[in-house]
Amino acid sequence: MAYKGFLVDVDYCTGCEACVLACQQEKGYSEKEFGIKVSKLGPLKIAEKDYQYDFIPQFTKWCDLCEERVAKGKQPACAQHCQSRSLEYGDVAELASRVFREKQIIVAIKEGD
Amino acid sequence: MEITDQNNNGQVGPVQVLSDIYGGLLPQRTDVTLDSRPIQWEEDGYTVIRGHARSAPGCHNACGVLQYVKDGKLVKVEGDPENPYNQGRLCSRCLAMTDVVYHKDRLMQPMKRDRADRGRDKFVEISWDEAYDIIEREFKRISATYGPETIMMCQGTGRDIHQVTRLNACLGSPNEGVPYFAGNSCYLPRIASMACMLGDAAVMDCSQFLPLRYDDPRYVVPELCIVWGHNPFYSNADGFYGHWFTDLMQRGMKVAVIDPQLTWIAARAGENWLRVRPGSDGALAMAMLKIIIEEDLYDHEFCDYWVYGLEQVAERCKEYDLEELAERCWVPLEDIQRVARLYAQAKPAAIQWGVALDQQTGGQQAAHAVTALWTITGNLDVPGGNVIGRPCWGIAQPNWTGTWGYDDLLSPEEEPGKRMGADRYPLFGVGFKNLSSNATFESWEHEEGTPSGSDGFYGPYKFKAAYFVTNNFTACMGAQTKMQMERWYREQLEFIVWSDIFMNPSMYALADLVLPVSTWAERIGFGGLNPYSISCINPSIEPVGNTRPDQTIFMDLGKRVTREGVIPFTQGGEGEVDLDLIERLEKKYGIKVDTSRGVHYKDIAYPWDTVEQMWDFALQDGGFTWKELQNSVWRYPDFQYRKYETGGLRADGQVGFETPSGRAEIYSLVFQYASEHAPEDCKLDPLPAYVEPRESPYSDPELAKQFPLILTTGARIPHFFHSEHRQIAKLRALHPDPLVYIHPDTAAAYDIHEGEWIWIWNDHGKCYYKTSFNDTYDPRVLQCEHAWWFPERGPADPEDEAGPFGVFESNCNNLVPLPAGVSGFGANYKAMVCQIGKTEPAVSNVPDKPIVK
Repeated sequence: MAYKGFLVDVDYCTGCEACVLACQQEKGYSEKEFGIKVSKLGPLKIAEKDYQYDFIPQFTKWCDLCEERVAKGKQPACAQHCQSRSLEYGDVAELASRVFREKQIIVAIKEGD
Repeated sequence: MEITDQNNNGQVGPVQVLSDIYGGLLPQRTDVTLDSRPIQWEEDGYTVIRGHARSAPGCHNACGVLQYVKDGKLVKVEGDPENPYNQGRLCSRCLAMTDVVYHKDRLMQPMKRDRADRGRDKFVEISWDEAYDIIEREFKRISATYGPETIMMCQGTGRDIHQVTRLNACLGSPNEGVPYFAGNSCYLPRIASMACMLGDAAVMDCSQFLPLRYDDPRYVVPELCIVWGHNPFYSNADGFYGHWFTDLMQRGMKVAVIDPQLTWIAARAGENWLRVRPGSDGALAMAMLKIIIEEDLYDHEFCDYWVYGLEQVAERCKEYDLEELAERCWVPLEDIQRVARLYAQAKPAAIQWGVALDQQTGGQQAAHAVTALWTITGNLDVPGGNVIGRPCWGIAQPNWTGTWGYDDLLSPEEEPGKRMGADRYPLFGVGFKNLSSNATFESWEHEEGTPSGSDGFYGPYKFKAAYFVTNNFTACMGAQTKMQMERWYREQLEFIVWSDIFMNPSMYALADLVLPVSTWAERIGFGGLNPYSISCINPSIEPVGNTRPDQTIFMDLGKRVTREGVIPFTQGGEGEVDLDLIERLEKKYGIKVDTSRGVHYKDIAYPWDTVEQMWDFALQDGGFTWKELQNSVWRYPDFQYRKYETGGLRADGQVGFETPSGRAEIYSLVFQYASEHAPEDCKLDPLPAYVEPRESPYSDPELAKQFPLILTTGARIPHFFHSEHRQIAKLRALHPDPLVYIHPDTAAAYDIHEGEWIWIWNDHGKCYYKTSFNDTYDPRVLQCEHAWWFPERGPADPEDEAGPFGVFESNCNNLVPLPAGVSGFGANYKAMVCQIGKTEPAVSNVPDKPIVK
């Protein structure tokens, strides 16, 4: 049994929240339901011209990894529409092998078959 | 896999077909360079229809979309993974498209209201026939009474409605534009400067001219890009998909950022984020220009061959002191020097600028200096630099800079002869066929019936009627907007038509007639607002309710209101007819001209039975019909870099640029020539310069004592297109309130806590915003979001000070001074003096006597 999930490239998320709307449209959610939410962390000053300023996508219990889409060979709706290409879907173990620089996060969403 | 390059020009390169990345979304793999691809298929009970998003609702882009339809209803909109433009991605607004299309508040039926009831809840639903009858009657009456030039077509920004120019032209009016928008302060100042200096406009090269994009072997990723007054991810400026920036950063591009706020991308620039004082970009640009010239960092070979005016610009730079320029723009000199040197030494390097450059008194001059920067460093029209774009296949008129129909339907006495402001400001006279907003401001205040200028105000005539084609100027664009609405539009216009997809506050305040329009999902068309490709707007559903597409309305009305009569010089005998004109009309319209009858305006104004036929006509220079475009979805013309080397820029086929000298003119001969006969207060400087904003701590220190803070405005919110989308629940939930960003130290000095609502004001007006603390701003600078109104509050009568839907309350435009720079371009939307406090100040948003110049 292997986990499925996302590789999130936090360094490139621009906070556009296209993922939030892509998810709501795909799943028919209202504005009060979302499989993914984006948090803003910063801007916080560390030193002169050195800031902590990231947007961090987080997945919720409303996320089912777009099972129907994925079964047809598509990407989950959030990953396809992510404007900065910061979301990559796949097997967690396989995604982990592709972490190649800082601020990349692996999120396990659910156990696969 | 390897495929042949676009248009079979012989180049071959490795290609990763985009669908390989995304898996099997499409019924079959297609090649992004071909002229035919699947446009419709069945998928799990849905019919999928491929096309492009455009407007309405508003957008400056033309992203590829897949529209999923079930039982005649649009169920979802996805990005098209194979489309070279957005490559499968979409922003939140398109992903909420179904919520727009089927929103309960959409306008569904034409409505009328008596002029005496403007601003009141007195609309009555009517049929389209009655609406058209009223427009025909009123336009004809006003045209006969006051002259056709007193009828103007007004727009919002970047909507696919530029075809409306044909409608005002067929009436005999040369007036189309944004007459409420001080200084025509959006892109036109930059476009005008570039067009005069280079003969063309240039844009940062993100490979967007090449359908194979980053995989095209001709493309080079810039080493460095200066992002100047621009937040690309949230603003998606004209024809510029903002996230091309993350694509390039992931491919190694470094950035320097010039912005008063620490944007996300500024945080990625490290020490090369230059926190400029709002409105002083010209000082920073002049300093960089001076450093690059005086440190001998410019491209000598390029300047020797292709640039005109380097010596004069060098002399001009000597007049400036670097320490003073640095002090003026509030950026340490060593930071300016570092970024100037980095930019000059990076090969290639690009500059991507935003509307901030346009929205300041010296915006046109700042654009001149920035254009000189990429020119003297040899980054002009090279891969990864700033490249010259032209309308695809010359298909310019209906979708690019507008003015479709002017060449055939207006005489020189009418265009530019009667265009508002063409004889006031030279830049409006040399080819920019918009009406001038600031000339219009003067005309409202000019005493009717007296000669233009006799009372100190320009005013050849006053406007009497307007067709607002999707605009909401009281929320957005309009400077001192409540004054303009009440004193000028409501009082002085005799007839106002308004079209949009929702009732907006401006329409509610002013419209005599409301036309409900269809969205892009409900109509045919082609886009976009860019010189890269022609993209098909392919409908997936029938128009919702009793709405009609804008273009259908234009054609229907055009057939009714086109003026009677014969086009001059098309009738008569030898010597009385213009043979070149007759030949041109015969070829263009496929007609045979009988010179004993002449060509009547009605023969060529709208000679089409359907909108599709109209598009076939508009596309004829491309050599394809609208159906053929539909079958290919998108078409890219062949693109070449370094066109000045091959004669690709000049009408005479010679090498060089389409300018008087044939070179890229950093000393502008066009500015010089055009100013020779201009009014004294409107003469243009042929050299780049720094012009201090009107009403700033430097230009008016006494005023600045009273109003010690600087207010900048317009930071974009990704979920709203300017004043639109405020009623879309999912989008509004992500950004519910109008915010002012303030430094916590400044807030503390005024005893303001985060989240508190405060008043912001100056001599022109006041506004009310919720505070959000941000210590990345200079403590002397605040930033207000723009274009706010509150659909949930509902309309209000004219006596309500906050206006319909609260539009005048959280409205930073109340503080914007009306006057523009000497060119007629550029007003201070980005740099106002202001004061703040927790109690409402005794300032009116409707001054007794507006200061218009």
